[in-house]
Amino acid sequence: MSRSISTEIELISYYNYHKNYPTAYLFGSESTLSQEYFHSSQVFYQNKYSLFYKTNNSTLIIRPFRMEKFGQVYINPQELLIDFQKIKNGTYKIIVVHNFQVEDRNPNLRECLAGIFLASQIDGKWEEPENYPIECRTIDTLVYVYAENGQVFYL
Amino acid sequence: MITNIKDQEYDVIEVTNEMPVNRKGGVGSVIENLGSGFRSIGAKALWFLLDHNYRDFEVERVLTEFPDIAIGSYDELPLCKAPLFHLHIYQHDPLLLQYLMSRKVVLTIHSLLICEAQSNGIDLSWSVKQQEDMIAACNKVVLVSQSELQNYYKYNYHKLNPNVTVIHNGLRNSGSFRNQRKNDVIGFCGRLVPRKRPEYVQKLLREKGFSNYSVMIAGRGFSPYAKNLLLDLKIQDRVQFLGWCGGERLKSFYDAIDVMAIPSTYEPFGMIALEAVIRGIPIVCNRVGGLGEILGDYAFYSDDDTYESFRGAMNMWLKADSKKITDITRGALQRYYLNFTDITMAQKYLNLFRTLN
Repeated sequence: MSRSISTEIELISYYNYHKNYPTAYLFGSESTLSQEYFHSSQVFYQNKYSLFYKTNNSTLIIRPFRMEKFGQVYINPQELLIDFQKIKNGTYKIIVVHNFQVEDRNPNLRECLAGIFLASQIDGKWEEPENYPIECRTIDTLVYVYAENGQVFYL
Repeated sequence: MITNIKDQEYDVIEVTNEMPVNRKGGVGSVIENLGSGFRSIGAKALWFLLDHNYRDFEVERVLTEFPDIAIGSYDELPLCKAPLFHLHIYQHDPLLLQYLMSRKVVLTIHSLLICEAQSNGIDLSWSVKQQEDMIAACNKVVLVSQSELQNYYKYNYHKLNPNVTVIHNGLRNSGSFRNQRKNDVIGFCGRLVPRKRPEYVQKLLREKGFSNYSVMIAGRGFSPYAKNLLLDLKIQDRVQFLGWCGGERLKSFYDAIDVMAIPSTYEPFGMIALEAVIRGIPIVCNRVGGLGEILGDYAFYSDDDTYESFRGAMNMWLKADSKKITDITRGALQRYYLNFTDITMAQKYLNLFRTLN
């Protein structure tokens, strides 16, 4: 169920945020998400490899999903769009995270808000969403991609 | 300036970086309760939001959900009329202080940043300097506990500004006190920063007597350390991270836990303890900061801030019978009614403002 498509890279108000720093790439951080409750039935359950697709050579769409792990259910209630024309060249890992950057108001404690972190490599090491300033928990890796001149390729 | 104000004159202009919308820390909660307290005693406050981190749709939500809001920059403050300014800010344009120099200003410090830096082992020198500049620039400093006052003297802040007093925070009574829970769940609430010792409650799950228990952690932030701790202790399925909780989710959290663990080594006030007290949840904590002042004899205290002492206090709670738990939770609630309601806090601020007018 798609409610809306995010057309901008979601920028969180980190105190140390820099626009071109890879840790800016956390998607699904709209605090509007927290204003409603999302029930599992509202969100498609899918195999993780069917959670994403390309609409053209430069755009990756993450479908709404629910994912069970650690005895909890992580829900992304909204279709997310990653526009690689706004992202610098390089290899990226697309990670589902427990989104600690947005207030969650869902009274069902078993359900948590998910987000998508686009991890880059710094000096040959993958960024981890657990590190500052993202501080989100890794749930699963969806796919590795390569971005070049605004185009995205699966690895 | 964007505003929804209808009146021209107010008793005070409350200047803040944060409202009770997507609150990032404790200031939003204090603002919420100060607002309800002021309304109860008929005081008129204007809430001036500046140097904030809200995005457009959050600003809209602030304006929709709260009356008497103005959102702008420091040079628009003269558009609002009140005899004094009450600051809650933790980030500001340096020019704000120049503007306030000829005005009456009360500054509430919700947390001494020099203590935050030390207790978390992080460098906040720039923010500490900003806070010190504010202390020096205002007429009166308010701290939220006697313990913070001791820190104020310890760091010689009285030489920056000797006009200092203590007003404890208060909480609106939600009327949700109820008897003991038996869910076998230990609760922890707060930002996952070193000074709050979130690892203590997790280590406890490996201890004798706690094999049937699980832990619920409500708060922002995760870390490589948190990830490794879960793996090392093999407790991934016994610790539920709830994330940044608000509204109904926070209520569900309080309904689910049997006890609130607050093993912090530094806690300027401890709003979370009050939240537990009004719901009848017993508290295990260090006697640090405002916690001892809120709870008096009505908590299970650890002797010091080591894990071993915390474990000892948790065992005291575990072995306590039903009567003991009732005595403790009722005693803490009594203290709340006497000293820590939103109305008590608001009245104390209003009295203070009158001494300055």
